[in-house]
Parts: sequence; structure tokens; C-alpha cells
Amino acid sequence: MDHEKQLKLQAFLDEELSEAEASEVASWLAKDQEATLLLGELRNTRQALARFEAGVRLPESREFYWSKIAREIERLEPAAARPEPARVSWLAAWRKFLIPAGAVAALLIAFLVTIGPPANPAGRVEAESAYSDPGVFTYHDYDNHATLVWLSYPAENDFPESEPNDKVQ
Amino acid sequence: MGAFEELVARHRDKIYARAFSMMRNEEEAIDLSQEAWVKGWQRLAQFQGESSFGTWMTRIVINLCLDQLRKQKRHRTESIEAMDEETGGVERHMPPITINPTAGLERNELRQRIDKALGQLSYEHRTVLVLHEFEEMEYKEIAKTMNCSIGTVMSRLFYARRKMAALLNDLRKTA
Amino acid sequence: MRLRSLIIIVLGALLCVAIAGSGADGKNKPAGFEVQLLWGTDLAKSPNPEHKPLDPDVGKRVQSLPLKFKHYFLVNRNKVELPLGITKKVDVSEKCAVELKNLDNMKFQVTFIGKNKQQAQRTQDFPLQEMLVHGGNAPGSNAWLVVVKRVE
Repeated sequence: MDHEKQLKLQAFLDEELSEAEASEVASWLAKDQEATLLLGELRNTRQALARFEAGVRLPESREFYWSKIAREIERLEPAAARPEPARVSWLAAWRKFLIPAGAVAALLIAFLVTIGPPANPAGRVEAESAYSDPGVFTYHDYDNHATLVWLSYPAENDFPESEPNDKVQ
Repeated sequence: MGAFEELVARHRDKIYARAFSMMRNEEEAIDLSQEAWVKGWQRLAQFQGESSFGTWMTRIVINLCLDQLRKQKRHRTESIEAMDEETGGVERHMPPITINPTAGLERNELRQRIDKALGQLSYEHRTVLVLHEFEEMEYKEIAKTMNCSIGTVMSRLFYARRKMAALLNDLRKTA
Repeated sequence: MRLRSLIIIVLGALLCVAIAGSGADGKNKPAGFEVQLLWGTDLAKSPNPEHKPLDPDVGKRVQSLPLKFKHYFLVNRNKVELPLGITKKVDVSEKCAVELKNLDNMKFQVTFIGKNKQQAQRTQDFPLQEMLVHGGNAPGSNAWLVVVKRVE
């Protein structure tokens, strides 16, 4: 059997032939025992390989494997999220100092007259509590102006609202 | 990131298995699979859902493995055997093996034999076998991924299958 | 040059006074929020007939989050007005609530409460349309999500 015929036989097995070509191979198989045996061998090999990977397990614990991924993501993410600082010419920088310096007194007067003391004397500290909890994760989508705080614990028996009748799966 | 960690936990074995099938080295497979997850995270916005998430991730890890294998190939000298493999060599003329390699074997034992046999293929032949048998790519797609002709894909696949059959048969004889 | 600098300083001071003045009025206007409870699932149709589809903006943004669920449904929606310095609690369900505190009309403290316990608290800026989503797993491989979105 020449190599071209062997490859055609393989293509027949792999369903890569047109209907006409497949039909031609089928009639040839009916008359050629060697071809039939070769097809059988190719098919056996394919079947032996099927589901080979299904038994393969990652040889690292979940936490250890994930920790490296998480570290790399965190290392790459702040650089991408941080905006580039705008370049400022020396002249503009000089002027920027003068204007707020000159306006501080006026601002202070306006502030005391119209606003009063700040509502939150504790100051503007952004805090995220419950973040020492390893089951709580945050994802920021800067483009969509959305933040996700996700609790990764398994579902409890009850849903926050009255349980919908979700027997349909 | 918690949701993403769940996805990693769910698919990590599959992604690692694919990397290991291609690289045949545990440490490299772990590194490349982790790199694939990082890339997956960065490209999440591009995942349109037209394929399953697992399939999308296996494609990422395959491309990383192929890049790594190409880098390694540049440093490897071509052996005569490798060149012979390309043209089909003795396997082309080998009579068909009629014994089913899976007959009478426990799943674990068969997996070990296949594992050993895969390690004895060259990277081109193993790659085309993995892409076709595990990733279920068509010839045309494999040709595009491996940057070769469909004819070359077919020849390599044929050779790889026949070599696998011969190796599994030899392992049966020596067992 | 000295006269020019002086003019710039005076104009700057006037500008700051104007901003402070208008800011004083703006800060008295309460911030408006919507708190929505969503159900995430792979089912194309919710088995609960009272669930509604999401509004396009929330729908699009929730879909962009890295969650596996294919569909989301609106369980309920509440609107709340939050003046400066005030804390308000919104009951999302029998067991869950969201507490919102207006710190300075831009920064807000959001506390998610489940079964009378604080689950998570977050302080962040909320410009108009900014969205904070708090979620977790629900039975049947589904999810619950609480969306806090500034609308005014």
C-alpha cells in the first residue's frame, strides 16, 4: 500500500474526507484486507488515547498552585491600573504652586463661613474590612466603573430571598 | 478574584494535563499552566463564551507550550532519527498490529504505558497527536497552529499513531 | 511679571471661593442610590415568575464581571436618598441588608449585612453611575448579587 493510500485511510478514520472520497475508501476497504487491518490498528490506537488525560492530576495542592497565580496577577495588575502621571512643564508647575498658595486664605474663610467642620472627623481613609477573611475577594473593573466583592464560600441552604422553585436543572 | 480562583480549581487538572502531554516535564507543565491562567485572567474580557471556558483555556496553554517548544527546538540538533520520522521511516512499511493495546489492561496501567510511549515521540509528532487526539482539532487547524502544510500534519499524525502502536505493542511483549 | 503673577493669584483665590460657595450648596443635596438584589444562573428563564430582567446598564456591567453565570434576573430594587453624614439601612431580603453612609457626598461607606452579621464593609468613592456588587454562591450552582449603584 503506498503512502498516499495510507494517509487517505487515516483521513477516512478522522472524517476528513468528502462524502465521495469516503465512499470510495469504503468500497476499497471491502476488498483489501491489509487496509482493513491497518484501519483497525489506527482505530485501536485512537481508542487507547481517548480519555488518557482524564486521569492526570496536578501534583500540587490547590492553595499552593493558586498562590503563585494570584501573586503574578497582583504583580501585573497595579502597573496596568495605575494611570501614567501627566507630564508637567516647569513653568506650569511654578504657576500651580502660586495659585493655590494665594488662594488658601480665601478658601479657609469660605470654608468656615459656609460649610463648617467636616462630617467625618476620622478623615478620608479608604478601608475594606473583612478583607483579612481569605474567603472574600475584590475585583475592580475600571472600564465599567464596577467593583465586585465576592464571597467564595459554598452556598448555604437558603437563598437571601424566599427560595425560587428551581427544581428545573 | 475569588470567582476566578473557582474557575482555576475546576479546570486546573485539565490544563495541567494538556501542558504535561506536550512538554513531558512536570515542572515545565506546572509553570506553563500557571502562566496560562495569568494570561486567561488578563484576557477574560475577550472571552466571548463561544466555546467552553475549559476549551478556551486549553488553547491558551497549548500556544504557550508551542512557543516554549519552538524556543527549545532552536537549541536542539536535529538527529537523523528525527529526520527519518518526518518522512515516515520504517513505520510506514510495518505490517498492521492486530492486537488491541488496551486489551486486558487496567486503566492506570494503560495510562502509564501511553505516558511512556508519548515520551518517546519527537516533539513534532507528539504535538500533532495531542492536538488531534486530545484537543480534537481538524487537520486544517493543526496545520495553521503548527505553521506547516496539511500534508505534513497528515504524515506526522500517521507516523505518530503507528509509532504509538508499535511502542504499546513492545511494552506488552516486555511486560 | 510681578503684576501678572498677582493677577493670577487673585483670580485663583476668587475661583476657589466660587467653587467653595457652590460646593456648599451641592453638599447639602442628598446622594441617590439604587440597591438591587439579583439572582445569577445558567438557566435562560428564571423559575420564579416574579423575577424581572435587568436594566440594560446594570445587565451589561454585571455580564462583564468574571463570573460564570450566563443570566441574571432582578429580584427586587430599592431607591434611597442619602443626605450628607446620614446612614440608612436598606433591607434587601428577610436576612440581608445594606447599610449606606454618606461621608462627604463622594465617599461612602457600604456595609453588607447577612443574618444580622456584618459580612463585608467597604469605603470608596461613588461618582455618578459607580457600581459596587457584593455576591456569593446560592444553592443549585446559582448566585446572589447585591448591586449598589449611585444614580443621583
